[in-house]
Amino acid sequence: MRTCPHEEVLHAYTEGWLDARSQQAIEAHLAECHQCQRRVAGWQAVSEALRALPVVPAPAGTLRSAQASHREWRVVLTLSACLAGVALWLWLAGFYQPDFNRVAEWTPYSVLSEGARQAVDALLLLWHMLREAL
Amino acid sequence: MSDAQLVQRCLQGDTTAFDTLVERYRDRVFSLAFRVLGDPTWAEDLTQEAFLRAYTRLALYDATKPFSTWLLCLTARLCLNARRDRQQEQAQLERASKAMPTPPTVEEYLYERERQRTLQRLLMRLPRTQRIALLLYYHEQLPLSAIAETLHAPEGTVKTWLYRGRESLRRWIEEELG
Repeated sequence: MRTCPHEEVLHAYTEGWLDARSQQAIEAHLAECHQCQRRVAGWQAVSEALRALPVVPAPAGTLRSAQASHREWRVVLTLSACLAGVALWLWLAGFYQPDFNRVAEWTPYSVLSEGARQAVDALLLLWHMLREAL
Repeated sequence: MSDAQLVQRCLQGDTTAFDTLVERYRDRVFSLAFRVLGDPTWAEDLTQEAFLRAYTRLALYDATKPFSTWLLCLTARLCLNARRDRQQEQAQLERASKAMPTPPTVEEYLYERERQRTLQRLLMRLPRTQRIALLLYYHEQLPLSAIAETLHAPEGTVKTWLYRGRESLRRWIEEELG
């Protein structure tokens, strides 16, 4: 092979991606072409350097376990669900006393906000009662 | 205990199994993120995100393939799509330019550490796809098929990126050496 092969073909040769016949042809060319030899040596040095790059250790103590943060989220969600359940129970159990004389003025927002307010009041009352008892 | 066994135990509800996997791969995931993004704080955030994503998608892991390949490809995909807003990007560029070392002398170049720093600096000049392809292929030694799947490109394109990336690095190193 007198003319130099295309660089991409030469590169494929260094990775062993060519068929046996093409590999041999490139080898024969390399035996007599110093320019291509130099290029191949340069690429091999680059890949060697990339292989030899050390693993950079993660900063100590800064990476929390992914599972730990996942667990934290589960705790937050469970607590929120429990609180919502207690509030709903208080509301349905009769602590919520809607003013049925003003049914016409009810909107979904007013019902929800009033219900939530009364549920919170009930929770606070329950909390004080528990504190007194203890 | 093998990675596949740990994954299996994790899927069965063993809360400590995933922690073992985190311990085993934390440095490699962080290292890949750092080499691609070039910023330790950003790499740390991405490492956190990668493990969270791995945990939530553990059921999708194909146990016939190595866990490390799956995890590193997941990390590389996050790196590929990682974006920062313009202000953060600017701040990082400023930090990087201030921290940019002066061109090393031949004596300094002979030292391994200086060579690694130079290589990291030159890697950052490559387009992100080429950088990821080079790191996954040469540093992590992942198969071409896995890299192609990660980067959503045909294997032929990945080969071209590897060639261009390696050639750019070779040329830049030659220029640095004068």
